Amino acid sequence: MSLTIDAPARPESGGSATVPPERRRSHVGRERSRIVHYATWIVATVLVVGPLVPVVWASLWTVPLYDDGGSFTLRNYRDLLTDAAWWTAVRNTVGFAVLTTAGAVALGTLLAVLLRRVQMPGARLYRTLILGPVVLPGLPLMLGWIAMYSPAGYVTSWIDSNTPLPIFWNLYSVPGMALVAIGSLTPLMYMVVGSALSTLDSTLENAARVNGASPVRALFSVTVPMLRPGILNAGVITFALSLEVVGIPLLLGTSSNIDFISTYLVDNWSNEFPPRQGLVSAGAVVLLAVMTVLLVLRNRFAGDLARFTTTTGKPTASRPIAIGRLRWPMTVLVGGYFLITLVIPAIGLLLTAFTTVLTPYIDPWDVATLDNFSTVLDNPVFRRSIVNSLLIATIGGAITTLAITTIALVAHRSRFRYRRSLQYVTLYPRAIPGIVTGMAFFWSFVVIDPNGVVRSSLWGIGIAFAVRSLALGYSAFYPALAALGEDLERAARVSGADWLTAMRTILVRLLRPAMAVSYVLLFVALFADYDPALFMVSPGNEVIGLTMLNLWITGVAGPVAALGVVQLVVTAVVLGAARLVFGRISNG
Amino acid sequence: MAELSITSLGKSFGDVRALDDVSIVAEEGKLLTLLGPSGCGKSTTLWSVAGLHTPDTGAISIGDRVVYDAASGTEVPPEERQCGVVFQSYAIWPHMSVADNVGYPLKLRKVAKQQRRERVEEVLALVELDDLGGRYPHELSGGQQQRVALARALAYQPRLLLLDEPFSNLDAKLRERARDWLRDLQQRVGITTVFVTHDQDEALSMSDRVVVMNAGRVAQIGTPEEVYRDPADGFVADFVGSINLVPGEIVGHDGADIDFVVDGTREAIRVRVDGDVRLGPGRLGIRPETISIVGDIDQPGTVRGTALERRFLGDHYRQTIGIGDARVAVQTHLASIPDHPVLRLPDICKVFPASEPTAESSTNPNSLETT
Repeated sequence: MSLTIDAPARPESGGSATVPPERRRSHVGRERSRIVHYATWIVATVLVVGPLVPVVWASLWTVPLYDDGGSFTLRNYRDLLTDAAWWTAVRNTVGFAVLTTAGAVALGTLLAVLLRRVQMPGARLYRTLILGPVVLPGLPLMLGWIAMYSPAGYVTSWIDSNTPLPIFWNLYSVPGMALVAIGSLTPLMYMVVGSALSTLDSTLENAARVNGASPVRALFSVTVPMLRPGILNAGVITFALSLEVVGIPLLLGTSSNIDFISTYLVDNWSNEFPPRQGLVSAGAVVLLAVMTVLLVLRNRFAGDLARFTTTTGKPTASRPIAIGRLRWPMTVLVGGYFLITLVIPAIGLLLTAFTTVLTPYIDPWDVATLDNFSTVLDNPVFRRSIVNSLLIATIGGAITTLAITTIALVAHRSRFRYRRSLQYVTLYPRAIPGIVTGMAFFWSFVVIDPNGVVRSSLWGIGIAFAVRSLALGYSAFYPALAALGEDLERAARVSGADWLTAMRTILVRLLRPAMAVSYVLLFVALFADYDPALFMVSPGNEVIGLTMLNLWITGVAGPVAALGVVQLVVTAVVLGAARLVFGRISNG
Repeated sequence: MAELSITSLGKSFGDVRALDDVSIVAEEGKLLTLLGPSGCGKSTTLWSVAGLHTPDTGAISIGDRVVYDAASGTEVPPEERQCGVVFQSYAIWPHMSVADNVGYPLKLRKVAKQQRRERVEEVLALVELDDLGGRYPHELSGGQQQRVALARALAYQPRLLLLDEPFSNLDAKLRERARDWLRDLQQRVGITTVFVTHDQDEALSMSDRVVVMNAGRVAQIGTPEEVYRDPADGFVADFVGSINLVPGEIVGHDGADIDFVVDGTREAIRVRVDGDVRLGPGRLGIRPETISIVGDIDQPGTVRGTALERRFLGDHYRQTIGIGDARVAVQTHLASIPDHPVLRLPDICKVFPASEPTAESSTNPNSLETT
């Protein structure tokens, strides 16, 4: 073997033709990497934390920020805390949150254990079904609940007139609203507890078995107690989500004058004259403070971001437990749960969308119609809502995905001085209630954009939605990043790539599947979101969710249900297509 | 000329001194090995050279260029240091073909396409992967991936080649072949190389010079022969190769000849030692292959022991002989020995202080019990 190769090139000896102008080239690289780091940090911080500043300011100021003058005051807080209506709203909200948390966590835990750890006919189907409410927009299904179970609803009326059974529920009450919330939050709790369940070491259960415990006993004496941290985590999440909920009290509380914190704020903002914006800002600050405390608590329980890396680990090899003949009543019970919370409301939504009037006293076939859908297509508000939501979802989703990728790379793969704070900034929107986000951006645009150009355009709402979805997209994206060894980019660095080039040519390429998954999730979330728009909407920048909410309250049921069906179908098509594409990628 | 010089490098993680006053010079075209147990600071040193790790104190220069100097605040980023690095994990980029992996450093240096292709072919031929340029990493064996990593590191003719335990993912047979192959290649290319390993066989067989590190410090720098034959302290003696460290006391001396009483015995053995002699407790360092079993007790440097244990190791037997409280390993070709054999110690022994760290606390499988 007589291979020849040049000796390593020496600058002083002239070297070979392949020696590059080292120093000049990467001096530029160092600078531009630094610029990207600082730019990312500044933009992220300004967009997440920045908008909260005007809210706090507005809450401490005598006049609205769009008026001249004014001075510092604590009066807004005094007004808020001495307002009996505020305390009623707080009581309602907390009562609702406690009921919802108890119900959703109990049901979610039970379902997680039954569907994942117990041999039961149909478990596989149930596991797929339960994902539906997590990924699909919640509002249309909620409309289905109302259509079926409200006092004048189809199921309620039918039971009332055809059976001797008493109607023990009333959706237009705090416990009734909690029922609806339990229906929509249980699947999420199933996911949270389920992921805690899958990180449990199944050998612990096996150890109980070989020591003589029966399968069911092992389940309840080892597995369920070990889940306590996961259940606690799920509980804090549910409680926090229940505090900021807007849709349910707007849909169900308005008619019986049950105010929640969120509706109290919305009412004082838009239905009072003059609007009590200082007071509302003070309420928003209080709500934000409570949510922040809850997020800190949750992180204490859940161990911060690191947990996401373990929850994506391999599925446990543990075998589901056989429960003998009990499996039949169990599967019927679980089936009943899905019938009541998913199938009947879905039918309710479809019937409302495809009929002129929905009541058990008229055969739906006699009043079947497509008019509702033609209304959706003809009415400019409906049409604009669909187009706007699609624009926000497609373009906003893409921009947010790029932003999340950049932020995650700077936060985890650079030596940037403030990289740790960047991670907290990105996760903080989880603690910011949607209506507070909306108010925050409203005030920010008032301050920096007095003419309202951005605020009245779709960009205003789009940015607010995008900021709100940062934490979700980040949580979906981070595990993929954590799974990539750092040697990959180190190898690029020592090969001569500056930080930016190493990220661009190596990591971003390898992360493309994760970016695609993030994009799909963000698309779905942005397409369904509406909370922040409550304070930002104006003719021209309507979004689907808010249009549904506003028009349902005014009594327009059919076209709103039709719009809900459109929203569900678009989401389902996007998710289905993504599944097909990614399925192919992971197979090839 | 020194191609790499590391001066007084220091690094702390909290209270732990990961690097403590580490100074190393690597000569041009030579292969220098950093050898030590895991956690001794060898990889930290290597990564500091590559610029992937920032030390707290000290200085590093490559050729005539200072790449790190804590005093002046100089820190050249990794992409400007011209170090080819082979990572323990290989870090082959899975989304690029073999040729793209190897060509990446050249592309960054804006080498023209034609020239780039020629150079990639040249380097792939050098690592004997001539026909595999179009393959993707997952289609390669572990040994091939390692050679791709090496080709990539050499592609742009770096000033230094840094290897971080490159053989640890290969099986034993392959590792031995890769070792000879790499040494041969390094000598042909003539590139200054720094090699990190915890495997003493690797270090001894491949290196021009070996730096033995322990607990963040340099324990000894020397040729493989020096490090093996004349270890600076008990740690080096124990970590590099096998050695008996027999505890006892020096009760008298006459020039280089000492009278050594092994703990648990009463009679002194007279041996000649290398280095300073101080009366009092100490440990006598004797390599198992330098002890012979003889018939006659009356010669100087002999001692009678008790045969305790015999192990067959293929090309030799390892006999464990009790002398007082000590268990002494002896390498011999004799299948059977008397119950109370007479051991003849080597002409020159080494004495180490009674208490100092040995490699036993770390992870040297070759370390012998000498209690």
